[in-house]
Amino acid sequence: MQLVIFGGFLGSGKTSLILSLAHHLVNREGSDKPSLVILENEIGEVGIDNKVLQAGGFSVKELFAGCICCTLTADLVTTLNDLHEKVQPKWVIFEPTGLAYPKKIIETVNQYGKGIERIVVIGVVDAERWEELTEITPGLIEGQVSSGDLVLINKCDLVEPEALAMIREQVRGMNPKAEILEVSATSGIDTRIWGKVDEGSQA
Amino acid sequence: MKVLKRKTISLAPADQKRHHPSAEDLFHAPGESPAVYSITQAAQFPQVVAGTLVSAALVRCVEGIRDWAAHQRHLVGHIKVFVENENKDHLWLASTGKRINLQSSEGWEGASSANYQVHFTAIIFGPGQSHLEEVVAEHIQRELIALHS
Repeated sequence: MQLVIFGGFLGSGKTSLILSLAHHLVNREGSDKPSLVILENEIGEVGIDNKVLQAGGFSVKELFAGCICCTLTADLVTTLNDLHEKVQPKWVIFEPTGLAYPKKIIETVNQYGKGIERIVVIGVVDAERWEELTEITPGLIEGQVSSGDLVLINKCDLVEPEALAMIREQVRGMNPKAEILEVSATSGIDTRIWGKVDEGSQA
Repeated sequence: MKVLKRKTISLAPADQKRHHPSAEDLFHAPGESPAVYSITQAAQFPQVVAGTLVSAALVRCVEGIRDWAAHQRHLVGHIKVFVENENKDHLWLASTGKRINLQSSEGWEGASSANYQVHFTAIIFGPGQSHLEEVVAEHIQRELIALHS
């Protein structure tokens, strides 16, 4: 089971990017077997993102309650272990709340998760609100960016090239080891980007 | 209109055994916990209403809340709406306080129905919980009631 975790602030575009990745993975797998499950944890009693993803034809499970910053990791681990035992999907994509720190999730999953061969963490950055958010919630934004194996600077079409270069530089400062790419989820994602997620999963 | 489900949450968990993050833990900015309004509401009309009219009404609703937040200098976490009719034609609106993004199923533009299910979540930093509830509920009611005429 390969686990892909999307971290990023509220409204950064995680759900749109997950839709794109899910389509890519399902098309590539080309099998009727349920190979992909999406786990959603949202703030608020009513889930919106899960409905959007279900409308896209994907299998979605909601994680309820818990602390929004560590996303009730016990519930997450229970769900992951249940999936491993009963469904055995090749891929699990997890969208935590926009206030979650991926590092806390990774620590718990690494300690208690079963059957997880690989974890890929994607940090999603809202280019349009970068300046505003890094001023208001610097610790959270840095926490979300610094855990990413891959950082996607989303909404790159909504900012000037100079601003984009500045964002890239600041993201690099927060996470020197990650690959950083600029994307626009609404304009479509180059499938080569998702190839970076599933490379190494073929073994 | 019948309210099917309504619940708002605060960041403070009821169960003290759970992790109880402070605003500083979360945001490194005291007093910046968001207010959350989250609702599922059935919108039933005496006659069929075109999906495009529902879209326009919900866009006005989100615009109104967004503009109120901007005027009050509140930070919008996000405002998201998912609305569907009984045939599963659906529309998704999302805003972070700037532009409003719309995506819909293929059938939405030509669809019309007397029954819609509206799912609405607003997460905003700054206002009190009850104030946000009042403001958002007022905007939703105003726009949906206008579709009755």
